[in-house]
Amino acid sequence: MASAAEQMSEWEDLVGQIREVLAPRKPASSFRHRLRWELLQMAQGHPDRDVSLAESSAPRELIIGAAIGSVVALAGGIVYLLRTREHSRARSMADVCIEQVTTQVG
Amino acid sequence: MEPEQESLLVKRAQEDALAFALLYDMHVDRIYNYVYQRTGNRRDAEDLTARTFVKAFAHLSDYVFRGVPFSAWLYRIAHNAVANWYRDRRRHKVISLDALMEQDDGQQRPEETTRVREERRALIKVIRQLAPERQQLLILKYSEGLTNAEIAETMGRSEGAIKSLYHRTLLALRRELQAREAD
Repeated sequence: MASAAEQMSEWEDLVGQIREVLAPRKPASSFRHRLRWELLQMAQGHPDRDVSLAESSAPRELIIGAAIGSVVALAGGIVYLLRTREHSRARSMADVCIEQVTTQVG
Repeated sequence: MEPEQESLLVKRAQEDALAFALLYDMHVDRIYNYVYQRTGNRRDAEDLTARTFVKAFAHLSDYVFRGVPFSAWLYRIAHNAVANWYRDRRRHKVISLDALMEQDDGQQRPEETTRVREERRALIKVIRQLAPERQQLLILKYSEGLTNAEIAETMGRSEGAIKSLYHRTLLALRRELQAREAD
């Protein structure tokens, strides 16, 4: 059976350990400044800041990647469309020429 | 700062949104620390701290001073944000031990023995498995350095109830640590 002094010492040890593992942590100053700036933007009536904060848990790289992907896909679509048009125009021009040549030969 | 003085600041922020930055400066470190101790990793702590302040900003007009510090209101928002985080993502079941121990980064001393490190690891794990209100009590007391009276105000309980909860929490912690040692 532990004496009262020993028991007290055990409790003090436990409390000391709790203090140690829960030592205060400070936020990174970059985060602190960024959040302050975003809150000020909100205060000045820029509603888009609200959305940005609410979505801050989504990985930024993912959002940027998705945006780049969309732009590339759109550009690809436009190029395809232009080429298809050019191609069909070229084909119809060729058809006209062939027809003319055929008529002249005939 | 006295709660009455702080309430004047809050009133100013309710009239002029830009004054909210002053309240932010006063409380951001402690809210971040609270959330960090609950989640155990920087990324989620930053996300939940941001959510806490955005929500506080959006609902500032609802705040009414009733003699309780403004920080108590912020802690309540942060506490709910953490509860939602656990509930929605169910991270309390899948959170890795490495994530739990992230807080040791940069704090490990070379002279610290493996045994001491293991003890710290076990203690953090046991603390994070306590009921949310018990974790909150330990963080407010030992990480934020609040008195029992301040903790009582923050948690909306009587001082006697806080003392009793503290006593039960320490007993539960010791019991769990002894059970782990015995295994």
